[in-house]
Amino acid sequence: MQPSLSQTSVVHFPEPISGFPEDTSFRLEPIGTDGLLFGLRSEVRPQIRFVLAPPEAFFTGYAPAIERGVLPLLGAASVDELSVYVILSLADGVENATANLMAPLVLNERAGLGAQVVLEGSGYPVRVKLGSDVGEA
Amino acid sequence: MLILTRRVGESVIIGDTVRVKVFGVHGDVVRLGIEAPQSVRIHREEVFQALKEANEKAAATSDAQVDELRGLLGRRTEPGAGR
Repeated sequence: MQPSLSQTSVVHFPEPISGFPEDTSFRLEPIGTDGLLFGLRSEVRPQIRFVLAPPEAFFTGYAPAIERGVLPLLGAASVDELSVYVILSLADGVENATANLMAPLVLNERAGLGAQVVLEGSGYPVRVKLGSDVGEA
Repeated sequence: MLILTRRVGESVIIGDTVRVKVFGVHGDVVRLGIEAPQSVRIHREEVFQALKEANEKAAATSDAQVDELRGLLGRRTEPGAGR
C-alpha cells in the first residue's frame, strides 16, 4: 500500500516506539505534496515529532523483510496491507540527514495501527546517510 | 538483581510465558534460546540502546530543519518527477 498523500490519520502503537513508552498515539500527516516527507506527531506530547519518508523514494535497494509475526499486532492479514516508512534524523544537521533502515515504522494505515519493526540480523544500520545507495541485505 | 546458576540444557521461566534456555557455553560466550509470545520484543541490549538513542535524536527535529531538508530535496528532484 502506498502512503496516502493528502489525508491525516491517527496511528496507534500497541507496542510503543523504543524510548517513547507513553506516546502510543500519533498523527501522521504529509509534509508538502510531493510524498517525500511525512510528520508523525505524538498526540500525548505534541513536541515529539518524527519525520518519516517512504524508503523507496530514497533507498532503491532497500528491501526490509517484514516478518508475519507482526501481522496480528497490526490487525493485518498480509504484509501487502502494510506500508513502510523510515525515520529520518536531522540531529547531525540537515546536510547529514540519515535514515534508520534497521528499524522502520510499519503501518496498517487502514486500521490506524503501527509498530517499529527491528530488522535484527538484517545488516541494515540505524543511521544511513540520505543519498547513499543500499543493496539488498 | 536475581542471579541464578544454570547448566547447559536448563532453563528459567519468567512470568508464565517466557522461557530462557541455556543452549551452550563456549569460553565467555553463552548461547541462549528464548521462547516468548510474539508481543514480547526481544533485542540484544546494545541494539535496543542504539535504537532508543536514534529514536530520541530523531524526535527532536525542528520545523526549520524540516523546511531546510525540503529545500534540499526540492533541488534534487525535478518538477513532475513524482512516484
